Amino acid sequence: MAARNHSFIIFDLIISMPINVEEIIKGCIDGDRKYQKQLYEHFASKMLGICMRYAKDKAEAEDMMQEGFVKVFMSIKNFRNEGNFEGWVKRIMVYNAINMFKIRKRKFRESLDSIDADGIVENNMIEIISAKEIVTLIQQMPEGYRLIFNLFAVEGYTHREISELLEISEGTSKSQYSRARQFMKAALTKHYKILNEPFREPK
Amino acid sequence: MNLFVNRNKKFEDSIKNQIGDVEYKPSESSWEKIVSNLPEDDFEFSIADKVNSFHQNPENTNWEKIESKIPFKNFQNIKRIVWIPLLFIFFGSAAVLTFKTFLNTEKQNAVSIKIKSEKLNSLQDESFQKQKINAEKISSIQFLAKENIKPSSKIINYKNTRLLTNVGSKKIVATNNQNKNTSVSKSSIKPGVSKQIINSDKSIEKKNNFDESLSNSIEKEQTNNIENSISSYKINDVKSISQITNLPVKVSPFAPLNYSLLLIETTNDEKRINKSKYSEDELTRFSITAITGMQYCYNILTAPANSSINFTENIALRRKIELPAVDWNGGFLLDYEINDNWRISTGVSVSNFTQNFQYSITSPSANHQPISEPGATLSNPNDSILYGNAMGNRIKYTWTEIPLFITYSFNPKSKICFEIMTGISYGIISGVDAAFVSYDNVGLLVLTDKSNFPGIKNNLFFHVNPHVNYQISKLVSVGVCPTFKYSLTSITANDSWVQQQPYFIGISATLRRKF
Repeated sequence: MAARNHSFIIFDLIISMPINVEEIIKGCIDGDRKYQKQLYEHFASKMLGICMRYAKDKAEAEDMMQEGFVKVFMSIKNFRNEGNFEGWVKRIMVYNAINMFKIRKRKFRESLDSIDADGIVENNMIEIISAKEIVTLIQQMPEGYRLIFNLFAVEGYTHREISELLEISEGTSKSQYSRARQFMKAALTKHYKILNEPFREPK
Repeated sequence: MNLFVNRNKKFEDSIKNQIGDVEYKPSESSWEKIVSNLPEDDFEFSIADKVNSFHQNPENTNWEKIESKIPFKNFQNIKRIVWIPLLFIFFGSAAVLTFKTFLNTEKQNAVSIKIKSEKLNSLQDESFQKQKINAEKISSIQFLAKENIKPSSKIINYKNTRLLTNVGSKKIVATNNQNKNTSVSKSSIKPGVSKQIINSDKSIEKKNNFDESLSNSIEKEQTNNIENSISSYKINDVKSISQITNLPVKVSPFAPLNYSLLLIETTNDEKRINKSKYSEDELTRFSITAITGMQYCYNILTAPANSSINFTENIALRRKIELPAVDWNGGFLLDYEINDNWRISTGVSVSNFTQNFQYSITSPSANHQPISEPGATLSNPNDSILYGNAMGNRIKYTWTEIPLFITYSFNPKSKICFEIMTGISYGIISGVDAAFVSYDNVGLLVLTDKSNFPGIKNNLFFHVNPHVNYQISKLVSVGVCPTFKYSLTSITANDSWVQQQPYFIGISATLRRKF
């Protein structure tokens, strides 16, 4: 199995952004409401998708997204055109999620012992299960584990970076991620079985 | 140019050759650390690939909630459009008034005075109304001289004599009829030596139906007027003195009783006007006030309305350790008198807020974690802040204010006048140098710019200043007033953080100059 370098992934998206994105950014710097709304409409669905992974439900994800966009508008003048703008917005959303976690002072006290951790994920399982279902499964995780899982598995942070961000030890980050990973695999296996059970009519 | 490029390139090449192939052996644990961060299989890659493409459409209400939290910066542009012209109007008006003051001296050139026929026996007539006598109005008065008095051998008694107007080199004065000998000695008339000329001790003769108070006011005004008017003259030579017998123009009721009018012509055009010669009628409704003072600075701290953080302990600590201090304020106002009692003012001023705080530090307990916010600068991030005096710091804000005041004078005509000034001012935050205890009382948030977290925004102040004003002269007055100023809005930009409403109690001095 080829090892992959999971160093910090910078979003190097080569997508066809709207031609007037610079104009939108400039308008947002000037505080023009029209451009702020355009920026929100362009990124809202994607950023909400990101926040859904960090929140326990859609309502919390929307709160997270709202705060994230407020921070984007308040600090957009600090964006120096040195990188991808979407990546910059996404970083703000992720940092906001981390801060909200810190504010709630959640500790890694939640237990994952009750979960059957013997799930074996086959190659085609993840392909069959939709992204929305996977996000829903991620939401079922306790918050601390969910945060570390997102940061390591999806965002590509190293354990050292995670330990600095969350102000925990590197060992804690590794052990918690290991448990989160087992949980996720078990949840995926269980969900896959449910999806593939033959339908039985009630007697 | 190419020589320099080539020379630098050679240097770079030599450095590259020297160090380009240097190798260092990594430590044994490096590989283990790399491996520990690598996933065991494709699980993470698959999950990431799947969820990164996940989109979720938000509800329509989300934008409204975001919009309500971000400042409407366009308003700043509108405000700039409003107060920049206001400043322009203010300074422009001051410049126009100042120019007009000096321009008046130029209007008294070469207007021939023609005095029509009506002989004035008494100026006590109640039908007389106040009229301004200036060169523009005296344009059709035919002057008839009764007698010419040569200046060489006689002395003019300037007491009980009042200058009514200047017209170029000619002056119309009113003098007491009792002074029969009216002449001037060349040698006695010198620049600025008014005291030598005044040598009469005779007072105004009172008539039966003459109001005593009016008499007193006339005498008082004459004395002030003559001394002041003469002191500004540069009378190098008097050409002629003539008595005006017919003057149909009704002069001010403060003109003396039973007086004759003289026309004094000098060789020099007296273009300079002593400003103290202005009567009340000649003053405009505008004035400029300079105000400066000291103030004690207080701050009202309140918890935010909608925040998941409990700021109770934080606010309690800040109230204990942040102590009011004294700072200064000052500015200029352009006043407009609506009437004798009411006056409105606007202008520009600078106001400073200072508080000091002293504290002690200790290690935080295991449960304490300092908050981290984008744009926040945290000092002492690992220290729990306590009430104490081991260390000190400062909170300072500076505003540029655009005030709008209204003033009511209780006794405007008196020498000592009591007033009350109230109004609002818009404070534009122009300087921030502050530090205050962060959330959970761990660490200090340092603000050196208004955009630093949690942000400082512009605000509205409400003012109440009872004022005591002393009239030094017709144009200038000084005053003193205790001041009270209160911020109507919070200066904290972030709605989820501790809200601050500063207020000030102080004392100020004013210097007002009419035009």
